[in-house]
Amino acid sequence: MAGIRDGDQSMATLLYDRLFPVVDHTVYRVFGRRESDHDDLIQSAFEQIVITLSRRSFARACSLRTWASTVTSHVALNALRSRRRERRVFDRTVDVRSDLGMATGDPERDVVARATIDRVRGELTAMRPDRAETVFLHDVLGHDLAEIALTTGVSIAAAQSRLVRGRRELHERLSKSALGDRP
Amino acid sequence: MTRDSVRAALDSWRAQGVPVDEARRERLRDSTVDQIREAMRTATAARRRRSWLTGALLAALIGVGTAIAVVGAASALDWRGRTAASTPTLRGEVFVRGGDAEAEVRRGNQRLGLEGEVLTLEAGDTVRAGPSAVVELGLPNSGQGTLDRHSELVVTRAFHSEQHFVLRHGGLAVSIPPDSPHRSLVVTTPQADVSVVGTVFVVRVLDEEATTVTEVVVERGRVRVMPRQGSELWLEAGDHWRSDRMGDSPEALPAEDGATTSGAAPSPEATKGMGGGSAAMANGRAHAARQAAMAASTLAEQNRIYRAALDARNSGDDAQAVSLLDTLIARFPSSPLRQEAEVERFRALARIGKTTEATRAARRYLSAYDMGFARDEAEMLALPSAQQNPPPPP
Repeated sequence: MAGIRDGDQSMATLLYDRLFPVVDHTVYRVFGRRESDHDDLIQSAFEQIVITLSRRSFARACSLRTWASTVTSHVALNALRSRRRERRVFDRTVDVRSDLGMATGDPERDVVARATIDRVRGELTAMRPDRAETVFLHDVLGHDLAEIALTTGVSIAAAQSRLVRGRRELHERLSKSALGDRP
Repeated sequence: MTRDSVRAALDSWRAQGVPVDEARRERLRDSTVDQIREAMRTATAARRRRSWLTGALLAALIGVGTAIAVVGAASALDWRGRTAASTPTLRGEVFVRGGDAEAEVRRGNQRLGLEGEVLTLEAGDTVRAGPSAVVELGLPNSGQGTLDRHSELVVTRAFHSEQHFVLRHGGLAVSIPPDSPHRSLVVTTPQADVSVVGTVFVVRVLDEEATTVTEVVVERGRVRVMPRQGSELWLEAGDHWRSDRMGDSPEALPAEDGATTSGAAPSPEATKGMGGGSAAMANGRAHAARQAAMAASTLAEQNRIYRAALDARNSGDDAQAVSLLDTLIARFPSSPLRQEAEVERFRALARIGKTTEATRAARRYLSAYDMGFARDEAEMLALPSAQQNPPPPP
């Protein structure tokens, strides 16, 4: 990290090898699939990681992988939010073959589950970004509150507040959405 | 949708597997690494630019701060200087210079040599001229003084508008330009106080037999002599007065040789540079004739009242002095003695303990004569702050 901060060019390959799985994994989790701009998002995430490391925003209080996943989540959720504004997010063709990890052997159940996750994903993009990111980092990526607090630059209490409020807001949005879907 | 179903959806999302895509990883390696390098270069340049800007800003702030500090310090010094200049006890307006190794200034127990040095005189200083050279005094507003050989002078007041010296022995020649602002210069000898405004004169304390004699020679302007015994008198240009001839009228000087009637002519050093003293002294006028002329006008009456007031003062009857001065001021508000009368009045009031009236009189004096010769003394009475640090008494 000192090499990156000092502009050591040889660190680029090392950084890529170490962080690619985390970045790729996080972008995939946000979108649920590898979209056509997946590569662009990965490169954008790496760019943001380098910038934040260079600005010494990373305080070494958490692991580099956690830091990278948080930055990547921010980039990916912003992209997802942007797409939702473009009303394209739910029109994309689902690459069922890529959802191998969720296959339960029951096609009907898998489709229902995928549809529910898509609804949750869609409502997350409509929520306040800080709450949405906290819910995603905690409930989807599995980071604990201390890591989230460190990486988002708030206190643990504030992170917990965001999580609770985010879950409540998500529930309310999904409930309203379910009522609206009824005939 | 229940909370449990939301939680279940999030758990499903969390449990969603992520397929490994090594081919994509290898495909993206080169371009992403290049992009990472480019981001590193950009970030490094930006950081350096920020560091340079921060350094420049800090340097500018330090420069501005230093400039402000320098200007502030200069202003403070200037203010202190002006404060010092406006404080009578600190104002050094009288200078002394001597070329003789034996010339000296005694300041307390300290001996200050004057060989080629210029020194600011303070109240309490004693100036001694050696046997081989005179000592020059620099007075405010281009005034000059010359202390003769073997002379000793004590400075009791060294204000801008008022100087008071005690001549213990020897001679002091004083030259004050007639166009200088009105002020007071008093030379005290064992026999008299010699007060002068805009004039050239010589005062001497002569050792004669077992006693001393004060001699005053006026070259230009007017000099007021207040003998220890007897009434005061005014000497005009060319007049010559000796304390051992108190009963006589002041004598006019001979026209040709410039010698005084007492035979104690000013030394060449003492009269040097005083505007052709010998010629002026040669043009003396008859004192009796002037007295007669004054008697014919109100000036004689003014002088009489004023003299009576001073007599009352000298005899310790300050209340009578105040009364006479009030009469003089009321009857002759445009009198040339008005300023002296005002000064003597607030002095007398202060002496008899009428502080409020003295303060009021001092303020009236200050308002009427803002550059008056007794301004400092009046300020001491009128301004409470000035009383915290009064000047030494004459």
